[in-house]
Amino acid sequence: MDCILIAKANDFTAKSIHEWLVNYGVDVHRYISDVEKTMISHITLSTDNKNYEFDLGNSTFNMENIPFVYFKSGIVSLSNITNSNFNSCSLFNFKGRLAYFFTTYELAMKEICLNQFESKVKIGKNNPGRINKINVLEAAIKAGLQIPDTILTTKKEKVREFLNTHISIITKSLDINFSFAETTEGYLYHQLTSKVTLKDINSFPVTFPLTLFQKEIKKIIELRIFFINQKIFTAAIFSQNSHLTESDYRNYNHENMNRVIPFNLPQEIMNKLTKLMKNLGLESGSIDMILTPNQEYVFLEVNPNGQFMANSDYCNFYLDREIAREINYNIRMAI
Amino acid sequence: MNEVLHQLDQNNISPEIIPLDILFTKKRLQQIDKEDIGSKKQVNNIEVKAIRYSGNKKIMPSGPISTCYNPELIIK
Repeated sequence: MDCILIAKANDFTAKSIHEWLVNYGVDVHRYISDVEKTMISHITLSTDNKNYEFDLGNSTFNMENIPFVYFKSGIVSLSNITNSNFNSCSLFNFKGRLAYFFTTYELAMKEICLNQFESKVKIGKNNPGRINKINVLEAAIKAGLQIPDTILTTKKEKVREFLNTHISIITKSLDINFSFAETTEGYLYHQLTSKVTLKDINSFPVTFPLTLFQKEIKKIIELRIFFINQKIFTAAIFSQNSHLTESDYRNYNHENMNRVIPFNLPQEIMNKLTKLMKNLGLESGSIDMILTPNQEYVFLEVNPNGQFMANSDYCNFYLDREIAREINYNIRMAI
Repeated sequence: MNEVLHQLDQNNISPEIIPLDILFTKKRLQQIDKEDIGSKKQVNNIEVKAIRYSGNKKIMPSGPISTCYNPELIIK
């Protein structure tokens, strides 16, 4: 086995990458992260011998023989070792002590498992696609990139002051975007970047849980940049022409979809992005930037597991093939 | 009523614990079943057509599209 591809069942980009890998002759195992579980079945460890045998779903693998792991989407999770309900147990009685024992036991198993996956040549990380936006903005400043003025606040008055200073502001999530399905009518709801008006602020309570606000950056075009191991592919999205997409192009105008074309970033910006990704320890990710009417490049955020195939199709980037090539190259170098 | 506030109310959760950005969550797509593939739907008063991925073939509509799909259809 050359490669384990970890992705959710409905990740159709992973399916395309899988097909390219097969085309390149890579022996790949697709691990369906939201369905399958991992179990450690056997470990041998001595000074001159190592053998880690894991059950991934219904298949057993010797991890020593797997040179490459691609964390595309979802996470590797362990099978539960106990079905017993230990909730509300006292820490001192038999059941409580057993619960504590199992908690640490499962933690040890998880650490062993993740150490094995993380020790491989890899793309991605074993996390559910989340990244802390404040930490990323800090890293972007250190990499020399320009960012929008940002506040994270619990106070209505601070938001009002921020709006007065910047004229136009937006809000977006601190971490992953919230989404849910409304079952009665079958609609899906997603959180996007949204404009915040004075009317909105007036309806806010005086204090509220920590919420992120940013200066709205005027744009000529929105840039969606895909980064993989120093290679950069940039799509320019003309999202300012529709009131639906001007704050977030994913609020699609289905009647008149945004124009999307390939775009060459200045070398200076590419260098800064490369430095940022290196500092964040990311081999790949989707980066959002804005080109302003003053020709300034403003960094917004990076998504380690962002969906990129739509823009890849529009721009003929063939990113699924590019990722498969990168994996194939790394496997050949590792063997 | 904002759908998030409605859902909070339905689930007996106080809005006071919710970061305000969540309240801007919008209706985006309609889930579809297998038999709905190819059909047209109204989302935000705009007619969209459901698409699906089947084997190696990407079935694209000629008009406006949504990215609705049934995950079961695309498991390899």
